[in-house]
Amino acid sequence: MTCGISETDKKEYDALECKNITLEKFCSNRLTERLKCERMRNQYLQACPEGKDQFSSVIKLYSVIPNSVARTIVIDGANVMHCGSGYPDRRENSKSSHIPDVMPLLSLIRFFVVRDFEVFVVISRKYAKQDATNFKSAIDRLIENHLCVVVPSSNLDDSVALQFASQINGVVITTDQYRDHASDSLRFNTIVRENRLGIKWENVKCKNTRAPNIENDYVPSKRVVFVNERESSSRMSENDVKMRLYAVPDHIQYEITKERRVLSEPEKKKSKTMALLNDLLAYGRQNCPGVIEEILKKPVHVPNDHSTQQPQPPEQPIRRVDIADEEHIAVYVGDGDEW
Amino acid sequence: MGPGSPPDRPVPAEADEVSDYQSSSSEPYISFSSDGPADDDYDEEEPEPQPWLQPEEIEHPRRENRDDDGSESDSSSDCTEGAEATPEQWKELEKELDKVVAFMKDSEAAKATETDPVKRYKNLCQLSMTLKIMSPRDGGWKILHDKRTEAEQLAIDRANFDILKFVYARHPIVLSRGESFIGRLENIDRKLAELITQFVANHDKHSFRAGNFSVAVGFDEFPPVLKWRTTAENKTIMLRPVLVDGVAVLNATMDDDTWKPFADRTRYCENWIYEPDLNLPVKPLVDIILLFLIRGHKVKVYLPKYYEDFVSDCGVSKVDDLVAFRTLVALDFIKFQPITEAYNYKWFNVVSGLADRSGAVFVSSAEYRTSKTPIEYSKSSERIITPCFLNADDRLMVLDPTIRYRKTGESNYTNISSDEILQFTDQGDDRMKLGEQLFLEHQIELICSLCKLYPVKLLNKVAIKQLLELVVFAEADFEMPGMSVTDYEQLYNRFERGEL
Repeated sequence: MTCGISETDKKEYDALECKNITLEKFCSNRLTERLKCERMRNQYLQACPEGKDQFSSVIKLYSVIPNSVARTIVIDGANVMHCGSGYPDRRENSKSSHIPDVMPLLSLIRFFVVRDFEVFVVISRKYAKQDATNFKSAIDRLIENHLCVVVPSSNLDDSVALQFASQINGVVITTDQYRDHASDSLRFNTIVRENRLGIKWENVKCKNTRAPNIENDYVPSKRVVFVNERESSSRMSENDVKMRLYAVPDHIQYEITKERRVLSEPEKKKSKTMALLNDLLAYGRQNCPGVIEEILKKPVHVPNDHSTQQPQPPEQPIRRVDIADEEHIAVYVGDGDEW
Repeated sequence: MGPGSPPDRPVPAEADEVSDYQSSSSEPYISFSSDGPADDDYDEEEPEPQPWLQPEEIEHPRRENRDDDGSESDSSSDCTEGAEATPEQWKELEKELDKVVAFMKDSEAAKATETDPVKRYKNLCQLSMTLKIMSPRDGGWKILHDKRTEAEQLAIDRANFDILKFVYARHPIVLSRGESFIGRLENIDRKLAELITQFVANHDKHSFRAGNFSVAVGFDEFPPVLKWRTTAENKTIMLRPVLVDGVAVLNATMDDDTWKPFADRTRYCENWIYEPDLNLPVKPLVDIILLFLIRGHKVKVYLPKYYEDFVSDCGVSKVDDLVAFRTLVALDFIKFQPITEAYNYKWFNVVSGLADRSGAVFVSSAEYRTSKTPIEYSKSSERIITPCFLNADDRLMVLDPTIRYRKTGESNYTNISSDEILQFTDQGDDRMKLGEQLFLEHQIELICSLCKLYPVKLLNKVAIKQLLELVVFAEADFEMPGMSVTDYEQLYNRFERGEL
């Protein structure tokens, strides 16, 4: 595959840590990547028919305020997967009303990424396990691509999400009002007030379709509405949402937002992230309903609790070792800790 | 075609070199599978481990050809046994050797003038003097440097200049030379300057001289503010030292969730050769150290002995930033601990024991704890605070010194506040507590040393500015390596006047 080599390509090649490919191969790989992004987009457009619903109550999020900087979006993954799910969980002993659905999470991530925001999700470890959601491989891919932080069981995921947001002047997207955190301390009270944006989910007529807008937002079982809980959960106007999602030079934490923007470089990663999300949404649209049916046939999954005081040893595969080294390797015999 | 399993780890360009390196060593390669035992209470008696097999001596490939006087004999010569080589044969050998030397010289010359980037990179990787680390993410060896590159140093200098503009804005010498930014401070900096003036006035300048305890910075609000180390009852707050489990930090930064490093019983890890999966990222350690230094704590990072020999003779590094790691070792932030039988050969037992002995703030991971006894949260080793990372290119860390847990059967959470985690209570040995305190001049010196490693981020910048300006304003005259008034003047000349 031949391709023209630009000055930008040469500069980026020169900056490579490991030059174990030629410049031509590097450019060829980039072209392949670009073509793949285009292919994923087309696949997404074909797999997801256009519907009449919009995904969000706010469609455009581009700020016209001079020198404003987009704040980083931190998504409360568990909350979105539960509240955005359209699959009721009527199994015996189920503590949750719905099966966690990854599609609303993917569509929310895509909604912000296509509008040039930096986005990442925070989930607790239990949601990365088999049968915890309807699309485990999507969670795995988000983690691999550093779009998802898995919080250890000793930490609370919503607390971690708030702290990440506080550090970089980001915004946590969630339906949870975090009343317990807000009442914990003055610090968390401030964080919940300044670094959280409330949403709610509304039913839609055209589920699992594409919105008829330029961004081709994905509309899963429900759509997102931005709300202001301090005003009886009334819908926020587009302007009000923009005021929350952008930092302007007058803001005391403007410089922190700007620094994060420069360091995270979301524009550079946008096409690759979009290709990933388009791929996952196209695949998920066809396969997730089937997975839901399988999950409903199984008994309720009981994830580890935060308060577990006796952590269970995780099931981990034994690493392969060279046969030649066997006589020097400690081999476990039975269940005991024996050499 | 749907999303499949994670892509295979790219095969490093010099993978053969790594495996050859491993197989050529005389030490046994030990698996550190984390498929650990279900039960592990190291207070119970364990079965006697079998004696470890002694590494066999490698037969030197040339040793059997040595004569009694140590000189080597050529067993493959054409000479009949016992006969001396003829002068013609010696000349022939000389010619052959000359050819070999010429070939090697040409080869080295060709390498020096090589223009192909791939070949140059591979030639560089093969040199033992090239410092390198295996980077599966980059698909090969990543070349390391023993000092900061120009671009890196420029970013560090710019960040430090931003700090020092504020620190020396009120310095008499700087003011007299017209090099002060006092007329150009941002609103937030003006506010900070007022707060510092008030802080010094409230507590007297002499409280910020040598021999006094460190000053803490609280991050409860923005901007973070200086905190005086006295309780409401006018008692001095004694801060706990911080013990950082380097292995848990490594674990938290790993993408692969299927295993945990050093989770299993581990013996003689100082003899392990090299395992790319154990490559230690250094910046997260620096971030954690700086976080707690700013809060006024003494900090120590503990690592297994595997990392003590962190650069091999052929330049392979076990840490991803040699400049920063060497600095941390030189500043005595890093301790290398053996994993011994007394701790059932478990790393977590080693560090948790150390934490309990010093009453430290324990930065580790509860996932390493396999003891069956329930957690009471009464001792240091049970009050574990765990860092959480967004492992993007610019790694983001959250490390909150609070614990929130729910007792079995209860619906409400119980909180352990940051004050309880970070401070000694009234009970306990006062002399021990005193010995664990960080003094102000040392706090300042260490912070300044760490500012030379990476560009300081804004949140920490705001805190560090205040600490440094405090001691400058209080005329403490502390050592501030890299951040002295002379350093400020050099940076001023460079960035303001455009002088090199």
